[in-house]
Amino acid sequence: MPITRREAAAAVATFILPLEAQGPAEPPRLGFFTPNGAKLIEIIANILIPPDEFPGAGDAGAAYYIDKQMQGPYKDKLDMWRAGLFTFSSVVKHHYQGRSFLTLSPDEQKQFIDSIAQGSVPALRGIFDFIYDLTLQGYFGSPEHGGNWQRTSWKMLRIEDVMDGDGHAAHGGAVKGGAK
Amino acid sequence: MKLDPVDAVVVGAGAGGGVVAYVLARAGFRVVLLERGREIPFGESGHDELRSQRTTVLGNAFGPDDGYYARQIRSPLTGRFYRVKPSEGAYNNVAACVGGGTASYGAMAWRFHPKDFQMLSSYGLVAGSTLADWPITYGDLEPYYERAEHEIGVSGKAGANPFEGPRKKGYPMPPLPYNQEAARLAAGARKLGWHPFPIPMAINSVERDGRAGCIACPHCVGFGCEVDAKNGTQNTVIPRAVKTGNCTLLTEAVAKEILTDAAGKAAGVAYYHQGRLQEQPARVVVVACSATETPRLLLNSKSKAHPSGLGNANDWVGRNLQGHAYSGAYGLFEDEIFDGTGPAARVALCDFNHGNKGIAGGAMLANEFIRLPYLFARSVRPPRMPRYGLEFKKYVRDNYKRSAGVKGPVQEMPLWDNRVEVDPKVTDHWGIPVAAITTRRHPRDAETGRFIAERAAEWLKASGARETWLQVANLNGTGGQHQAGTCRMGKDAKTSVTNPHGRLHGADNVYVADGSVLVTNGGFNPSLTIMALAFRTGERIVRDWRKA
Ligand SMILES: Cc1cc2nc3c(=O)[nH]c(=O)nc-3n(C[C@H](O)[C@H](O)[C@H](O)COP(=O)(O)OP(=O)(O)OC[C@H]3O[C@@H](n4cnc5c(N)ncnc54)[C@H](O)[C@@H]3O)c2cc1C
Ligand code: SF4
Repeated sequence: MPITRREAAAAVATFILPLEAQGPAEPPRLGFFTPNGAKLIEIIANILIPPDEFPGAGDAGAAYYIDKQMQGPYKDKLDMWRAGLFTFSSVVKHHYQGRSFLTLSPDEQKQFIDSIAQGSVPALRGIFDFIYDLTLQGYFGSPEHGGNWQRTSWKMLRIEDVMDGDGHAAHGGAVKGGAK
Repeated sequence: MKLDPVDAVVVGAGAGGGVVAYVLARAGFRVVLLERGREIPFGESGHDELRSQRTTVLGNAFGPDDGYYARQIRSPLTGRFYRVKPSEGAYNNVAACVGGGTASYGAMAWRFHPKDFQMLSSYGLVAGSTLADWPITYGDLEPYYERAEHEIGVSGKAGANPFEGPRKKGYPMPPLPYNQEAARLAAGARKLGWHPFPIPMAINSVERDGRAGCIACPHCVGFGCEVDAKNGTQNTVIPRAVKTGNCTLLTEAVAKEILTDAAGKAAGVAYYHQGRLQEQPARVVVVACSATETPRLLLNSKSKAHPSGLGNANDWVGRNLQGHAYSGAYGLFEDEIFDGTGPAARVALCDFNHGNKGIAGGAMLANEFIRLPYLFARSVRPPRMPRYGLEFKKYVRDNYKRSAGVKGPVQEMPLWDNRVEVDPKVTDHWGIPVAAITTRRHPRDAETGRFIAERAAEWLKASGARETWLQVANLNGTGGQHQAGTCRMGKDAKTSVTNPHGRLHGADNVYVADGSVLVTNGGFNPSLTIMALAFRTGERIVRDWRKA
């Protein structure tokens, strides 16, 4: 009996991509972030897209997505990232009597993110927008890039059936469009 | 190294270049088709939203490569140039691969409206704009539109668009059927007394030429097609050209300059291939690198006879860069109108391309291509909605399948100062000066954009949307994937770059056959017009340069 395209795609996805496409059983190794650096991003990502019946962006691997991309396509943004996070930490310290973001209460963390999202600290606007964009990418993009564990967002949007397989399995590695 | 001479070198295997190579090869010309990119098979590009040609946050699957190319873009804020890489939006990328933009395009295959060829006579002078009539009419191009529709393969419903210019022949394939969203919108439009019809698409609605019909996957624009049902030059005219035995397609071949002889005629093309500089002598040179790269190549081709660049004696090369001031609206519906079928864009209307009071031109309106999850989360949100937090998450979850977008490629008023130059101080991987681009839209474009966006919202409401919001183009910059206009064709050499057949003023064996020659950019996606013009130019080259 001929199989449908979707069945074929699902078969490919299950056999070839159990880890990358469906998310790791345990968090992968970090290459760029320190554990605390990843924790910080996880908390921010969970404020941007918080958990409800579906995991938040932090819980679904946004920090691991960012960790991976900062070593790849976003390599040239490393300086900007480091400078941005340095300013971020300094502003937190200044506002909260020398404390670090990780030691703030969840309410304080949310308040701080709200205030920088509203642009109250102009020096943090750039880094906030960058983290925000990367968080959306990590949450909604293909799991093969390190985020969207268990295809959380695709399940939430009920598009897992149309997104499954479909060439995520088929392509490997970076693509060079231009001549060398 | 100097190679054996050929009849013609075509630079750029995109929409225009692929067509010209085919026409020449079929007529028996020995052709070398140079393309800086590679062939991109589906297995390589896949369905990865974050590296698609539409959403390039992790790179362009269809090139060019970030590591090898750059441009200088003038910042609308500071007025100064800054360096931009291909995957960044400001770069104004189309693609770098066999097929050019048509390898990953959305495949809407529009004929321009007859008035789009006569904007100046239709609307009169527009202050500040270099608005002009084309040197040819819709009637002149009609046979070539027909040829493009049949050779490339377009599905559609002839006669369904009452505003279209006269056509002699129907489409070679029936239209793709309406999906749920299109059916809803078509009914809404009819309620308003407007005239909806299925979008003509360069997509096989049925099997054709040994390739499959569309299986309505949820990807399309920005991707290759997994069943090869989407028709670009890479799977039609280019393989046919190669099959004649007269055309050599050379990939990863980067043209550096057009070489000229003492009299100023083109002698051939210098290009880099596998790390070496080669010289390909030819009787005719056809430039088809897209509306930003073609002026770059011409301006980089300086010689004693052409001190300011080839064809640039009157400073017109690179001027009048246009794109589209895309504007429209989004709407949220009670029920789920998303059915997951690609290419999603299936219904359009041309009630507002012309005849809009107080407005020069307008736009075709169509429903949008499928918005994949990241793009949706990033950009489809009513103004009242926060951009993060639980409410935002719930919004995305509840409305991904309840939203629809309608927008149109708003026709822009060309501007003399919107231009491509070259920056001798900034070079690409091969040491070739990069394009330096300055653009800012005419204020009229935003007015037209607002008018079109309001019609889009009206359409969505009539189709049952409970909430709508507008998206109007701003004035910061143009060009982009619909780039056009930088080597305007015209009758007067003082106010144009090529003659009405695409032949360069000042070097009669050099032709331009891509989006550059469009005088104005219509209220439509431009690829079919580019291909039709390329058929016409190709035919003319055959006539003028056939060996005795
Ligand atoms: C995602 C996307 C969606 C689109 N959707 C639509 C649509 O639905 N309908 C529509 O009509 N249009 C659409 N377009 C636009 C359409 O693809 C372009 O208008 C069209 O491809 C332009 O044709 P062209 O011949 O001017 O240039 P291109 O097709 O860009 O071809 C130029 C070619 O020249 C090559 N080149 C450039 N410089 C050099 C050099 N120095 N040496 C060698 N080779 C060189 C490039 O690599 C490229 O392959 C879309 C484009 C994109 C990217
Ligand atoms: S929508 Fe159809 S033509 Fe477009 S990529 Fe999918 S299958 Fe191919």
